[in-house]
Amino acid sequence: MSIRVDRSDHALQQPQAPHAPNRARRTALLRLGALCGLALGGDVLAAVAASGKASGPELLRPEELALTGVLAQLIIPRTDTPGAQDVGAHLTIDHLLAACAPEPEQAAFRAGLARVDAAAQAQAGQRFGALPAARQVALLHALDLGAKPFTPADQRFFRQLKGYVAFAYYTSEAGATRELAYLPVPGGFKGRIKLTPSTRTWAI
Amino acid sequence: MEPVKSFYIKSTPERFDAIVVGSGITGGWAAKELTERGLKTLMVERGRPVEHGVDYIGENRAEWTMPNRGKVDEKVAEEQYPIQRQCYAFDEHTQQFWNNDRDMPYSTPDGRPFSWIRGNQLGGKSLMWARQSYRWSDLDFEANLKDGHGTDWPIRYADLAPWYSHVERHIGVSGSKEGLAVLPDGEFLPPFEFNAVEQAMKAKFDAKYAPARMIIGRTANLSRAGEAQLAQGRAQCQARSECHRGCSFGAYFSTQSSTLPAALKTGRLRIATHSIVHSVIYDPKTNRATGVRVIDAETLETREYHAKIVLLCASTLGSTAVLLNSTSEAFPTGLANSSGVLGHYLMDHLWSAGASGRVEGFEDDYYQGRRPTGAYVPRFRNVVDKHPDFVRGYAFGGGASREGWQSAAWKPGFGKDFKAMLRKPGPWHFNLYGQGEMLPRFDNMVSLHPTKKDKWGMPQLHIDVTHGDNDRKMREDMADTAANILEYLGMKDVRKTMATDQEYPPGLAIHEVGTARMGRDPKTSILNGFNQAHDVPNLFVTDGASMASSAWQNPSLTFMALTARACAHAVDELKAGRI
Repeated sequence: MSIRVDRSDHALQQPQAPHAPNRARRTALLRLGALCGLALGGDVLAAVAASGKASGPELLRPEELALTGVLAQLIIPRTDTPGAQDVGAHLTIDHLLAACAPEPEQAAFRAGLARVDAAAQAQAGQRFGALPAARQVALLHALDLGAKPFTPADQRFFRQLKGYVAFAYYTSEAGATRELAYLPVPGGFKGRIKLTPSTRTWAI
Repeated sequence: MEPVKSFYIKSTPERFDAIVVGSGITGGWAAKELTERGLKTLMVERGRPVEHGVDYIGENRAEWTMPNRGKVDEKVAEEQYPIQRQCYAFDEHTQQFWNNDRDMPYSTPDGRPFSWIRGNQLGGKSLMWARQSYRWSDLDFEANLKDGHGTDWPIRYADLAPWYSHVERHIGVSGSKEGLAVLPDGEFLPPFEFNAVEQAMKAKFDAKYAPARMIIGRTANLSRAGEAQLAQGRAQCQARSECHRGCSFGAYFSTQSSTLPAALKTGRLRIATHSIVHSVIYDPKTNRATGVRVIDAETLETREYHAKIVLLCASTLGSTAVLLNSTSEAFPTGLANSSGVLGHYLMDHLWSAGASGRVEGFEDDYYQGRRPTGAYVPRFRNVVDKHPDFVRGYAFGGGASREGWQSAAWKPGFGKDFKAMLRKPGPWHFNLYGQGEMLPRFDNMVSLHPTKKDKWGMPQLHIDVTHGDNDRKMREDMADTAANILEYLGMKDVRKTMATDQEYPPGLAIHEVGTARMGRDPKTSILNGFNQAHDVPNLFVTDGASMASSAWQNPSLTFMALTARACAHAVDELKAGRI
């Protein structure tokens, strides 16, 4: 028996974010989204709505936010479910950095982003976001390994980034309920069940 | 049945039969026992009301609906919860149940941190406790007498056993009957299941390390709601493991779910909230406590409440702080303190020492639901053997689980394959972490700060605790033994943990006990075997302050049993006209 939660079980899910974003913020978001090449979905608007702040990024500069989005989508791409940028992970990350990260963590993240762009400039004369996909992937492989042009310190940044992207993605509605198995009220504890090929990891 | 709000009071000239200070684990139990035995009782709580279900604002909130996805705002946490945020259970869903450190400061000596974790609302920490519920045995009650650390408990297991049963039958404790002398069986609801890895580890562990045994943790969660719990309006545990947020099913024990409904049913309970007890009122002519002086938490107005008996159930340090602040000519160093030991012999369990490792295999095994308890290994040290380096002992808590997306940061790769990998359950891990008995020492103590006050004008508590030699040696053994066990069980990448006192200060186990200890001799203790003050016979202290030693078991079940027993005695004494 598959343990994947059926879409019809979404009745068990929680309601959307309590506040709907106002018109001005929606417009600004859609413009920002167009800049980043996004198709904005409910999770993105919910992320901004929940942030309760004025439109635009809270900590990151627009180009840092855009780079975070590109990196997020490379780390968790769109497959048969949305990718990280699709669900607004970069906006969530920006908010979490602003609201929940101590200053050194904020600084380390931004320094890491700068290193990625600097490496792209040095290698191909362009920002990371403007590189062709194959070059982006090659640079990220190097970053993942802490190999040239990157260092072990850069690899630590990539771990920080992966952690943030995964957190933002898998705590989003799509990430939790469509990509993984989501069971908010299990009803009881079953200690032993057998995996099938369709078994997914629990979102919570 | 009375309408909902009419049992809350502010000022009243009424003289109650009993005043209970505090509304948490023990305050709720005192309110229930006293009212059920016919006493008109006032429960005095310093914090705000919290209504069962309605006020559980962090419950039933999916992460994407939370402003910070479950994380706490950094500025708010640093400014208002710098101590509470150290607690594992403090997050965006539970934040409102924790004491505001900015408003309720305390002091510690330089270089000797103590993390005082508190609630500040009706229900106290019964809303956020970990629910692990274990009986003590005579190995624990006799420890002080046998090894000379601390003074002898004035009671033994036989005195408390019927009260453990009384409490368990009401609250509902899930567990398995094991017949272990070190950990007496209780009145149990069905145990929660092991998962496949734990089952396999248990078989290996039990075979090799007998008479030590791995069992399922005993927890005050309703694996099945018995008749008694259904009568309290409670329902079966849904295995969400979100207890700290408050549970509208009432599936774990709290004041709100369990003892408050019982007390309210009698019609004899009144509750005063936002009422900070400044001191107990003492009448030297009759040698009796006659009530409490209160500062209103919101308006700073003062008032008094009067009663025939007074029970302090304000949590270990809360109750002792009240006694220290209740000075008079007869008791210049604190009420009922002719012995001079008030504030001394503070203990907290030894924590943050253990090991974890990766389990190979079991790829086809998984579990469903989030179990509100784990695997548990009762104390085996200094039970049959005699360890060369330390006396007393510890338990292990832990268990096995499969990696999820939370470990993504450490996984190599990115992209489609990375995502596909995270879609599947990851490798199994298993861990064991110790909880150890801390020895009672006179110099581990609390006192009222000579100058510092809080916003209500109450003197701040000064808390001074250090680990001793026995404590350090025991913690080392916890970590070493955990690692050895995991190696024997075949785990890979076994990692030992032993945090320093700076990294993990005393207090963070949240099992602080002592400072108004029970004892046989009024010259060396505050309370007798019924939690009754030697010096002032209508004054009782039934929470952790009363403990003469810490043992190794989670203390709350014992708090409840002591409270129920003390209340029965108090009512008998009152009805007999002896107090």
